[in-house]
Amino acid sequence: MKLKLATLAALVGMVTVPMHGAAPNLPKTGLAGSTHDIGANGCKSCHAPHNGSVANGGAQSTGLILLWARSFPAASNTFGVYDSATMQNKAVELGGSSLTTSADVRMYSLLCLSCHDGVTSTFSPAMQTKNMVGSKAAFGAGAFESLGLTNDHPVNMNYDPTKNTSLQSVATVGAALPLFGSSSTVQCATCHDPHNDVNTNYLRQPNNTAHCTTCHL
Amino acid sequence: MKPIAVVSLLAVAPLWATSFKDAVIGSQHDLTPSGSGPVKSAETRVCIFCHAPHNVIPNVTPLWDHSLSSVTYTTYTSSTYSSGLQTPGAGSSRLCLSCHDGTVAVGLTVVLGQLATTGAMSSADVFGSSLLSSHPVSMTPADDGQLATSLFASQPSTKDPAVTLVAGKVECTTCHDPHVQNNDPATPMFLVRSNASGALCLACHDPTRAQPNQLNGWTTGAHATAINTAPTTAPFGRYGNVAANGCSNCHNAHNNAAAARNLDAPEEAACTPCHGGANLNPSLLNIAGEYSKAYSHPTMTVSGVHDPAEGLPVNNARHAECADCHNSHAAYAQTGTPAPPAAQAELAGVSGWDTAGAQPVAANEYQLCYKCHADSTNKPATSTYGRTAIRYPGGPMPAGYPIQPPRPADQYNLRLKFMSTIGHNVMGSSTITTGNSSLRPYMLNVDGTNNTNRPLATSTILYCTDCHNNDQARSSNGTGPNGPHGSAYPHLLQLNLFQDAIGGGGGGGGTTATALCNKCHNVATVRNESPHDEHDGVGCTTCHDPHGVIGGNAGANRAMMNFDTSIAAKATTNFGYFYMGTGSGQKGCYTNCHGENHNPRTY
Repeated sequence: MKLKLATLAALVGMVTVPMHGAAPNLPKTGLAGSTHDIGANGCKSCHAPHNGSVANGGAQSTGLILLWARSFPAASNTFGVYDSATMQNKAVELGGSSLTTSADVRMYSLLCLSCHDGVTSTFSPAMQTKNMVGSKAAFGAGAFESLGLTNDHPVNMNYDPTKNTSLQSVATVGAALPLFGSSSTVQCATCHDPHNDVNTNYLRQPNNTAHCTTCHL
Repeated sequence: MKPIAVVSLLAVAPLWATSFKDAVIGSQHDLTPSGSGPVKSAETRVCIFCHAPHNVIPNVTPLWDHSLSSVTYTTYTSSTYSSGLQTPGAGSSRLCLSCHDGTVAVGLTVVLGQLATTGAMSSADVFGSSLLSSHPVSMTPADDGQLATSLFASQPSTKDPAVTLVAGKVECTTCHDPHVQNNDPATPMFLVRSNASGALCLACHDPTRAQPNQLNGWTTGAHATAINTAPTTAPFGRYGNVAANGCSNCHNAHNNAAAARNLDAPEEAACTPCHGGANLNPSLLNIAGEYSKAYSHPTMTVSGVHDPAEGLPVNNARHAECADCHNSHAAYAQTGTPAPPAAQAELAGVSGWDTAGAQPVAANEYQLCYKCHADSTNKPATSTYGRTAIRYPGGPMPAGYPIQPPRPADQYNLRLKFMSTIGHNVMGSSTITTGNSSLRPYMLNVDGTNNTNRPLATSTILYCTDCHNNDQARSSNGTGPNGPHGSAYPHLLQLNLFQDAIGGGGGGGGTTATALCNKCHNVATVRNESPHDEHDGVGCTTCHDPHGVIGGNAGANRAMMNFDTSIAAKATTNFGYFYMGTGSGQKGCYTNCHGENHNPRTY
């Protein structure tokens, strides 16, 4: 495991966002042939060794962050926030400002949305609409997309069992799934590992009840 | 590992109730092969029958993914319901109803389509489009004086942090936690907390609010404290004894035979399972059986008329349901001796009628009786309950004699009778001018012994039930329940008071004509005194008006003299009794009776 973490760190240059616990990063060997192996480009599907998205015809210098090869969602884009009458542990709007540093925990969601908002990526292959979680600002028509992240499990949310006693402890969750940043935020990458599809849907854990109960006591 | 975590989290006392969602695993809401309910699927992911992580459509929290129903619901209603419009098709309750109204296939998700299931829900769990027989949901409570005041605060809440409102409304999840089936092991119905002793209901329904709150008195009431064991099957509660059953002794939140007020059964049928002499241990006296006696209140014979919101007094639609005289929330076990005219323990918290009109809570027993037996416009003057005397008109009397009272507009208005100074002392209105040598030291029990709880003096106040009562009332050393539910004797009298017109078949006479009066008045002594000695065998009520004489006066109606005109007739020209002094010849009668013209006959 240590070896793999070291490998990851070597690949992306640096990882400055602290993660809680020793959440596993699945080996990237599950990438080849998956839907994230876009056009059989492998790592290049998302990463560029130099100059970020500009090297791929994009307009942004995104390479500072995980050598990201795609454009980020526009800074002005907002995605909406899941909320409910009983929810105490509120999520925070993911969009609305530029991603400029890998110390920003939003990275672990916004990078995903550079394709999965359904509008940003300029060389995205055909994506099923059900996989477009969307941008409220950019969409108006599509049934899924227009709702942005309001109809998706909340992300960019501090994981705080003191606000919801039916949540497992940070330590328990952190041992199985990564929570990002000093306030233990839930991001897309908490549940999903984009490099490995062995569990389907790029889930870090098998797609079963236990995955949900990792957090939901 | 999990149980330890649960305990430690409970110990930090959450400010709001939060369910332990992994508890759904293995419950009846777990539709995977590991579930315990009747509906099963081969799908192994518990959560996805209801929730999806992404792209739920319509966007309904909490990430709801089961297809919603489009049914228009008929909602709960009752004459005493005053809370707001119920919108179960719009509130969060619609999530539950997406399975529990029975119109959407269980497992029909939006994101994943139909997840194949086998089996069917219990019919008791499928409500269809009618929610009439269920507790109201998707409802904003309104203050009716019986609900917890915290429900009406700027941040509404129930009295119990485990029982939560959803955006100020009562929804299914106020009482139910769909993730946890066994918070109440006796009622494994996904309750948010145990409902033993009605604790779940009491989070909103608040007995601590002041009267006329119908629930006031519950905490010390018989139904909240009695430890008689009860069966754990319907219609009884599930908790084994009366006190633990609490509200569920009589109420059920769903599938009620009597929809209004969520009662298990309508009218007396809600009471008879326990008050019919069976089922409880120790068993209760058989009140239901009282109604098979020769005379009884029309509790069993009139149905569908009583309404807790009805106006008083009771006029045309006469009825006498249990709830007309008893408040099941407030009734408690009598201790100590009775203090007439105060309503006894079993009559606590019931409405009444008096001179001032409707009484939200009757302080005195007679006020209960007056709901039907005073100013009501349709009192039956029939023989259903025994022959009814006709007392008026008396007079005329010769000049200089005491004036007989005129016929009142309603001679059967007991309120006016007892408000007369000439009457039995039920309301404290009697004017006692002399001692009464016939009065016993104590009322007699039905077995002839002294009832030492009821000493007698001229100032003693009487209960209506001192005369009108079960012939075997246990308060009078009998073997049956107290109260005028039923009696072997006419007019629901505790003892006989033979009243047939002389020559009308019975002829009166003997102890049966005087047995009731003998309870307080020593008839054996009175019988030897003039003029009683000449009328042995005549019922007391032939000459005495037993409730009181409306408009009576001490000269014309001393000792409640007021002839039953269906027996005693007018003398040649005059009719009435007079009392103008103690001396011989100063008192007597003008009447033609038993074939003899007293014109007058003095003594």
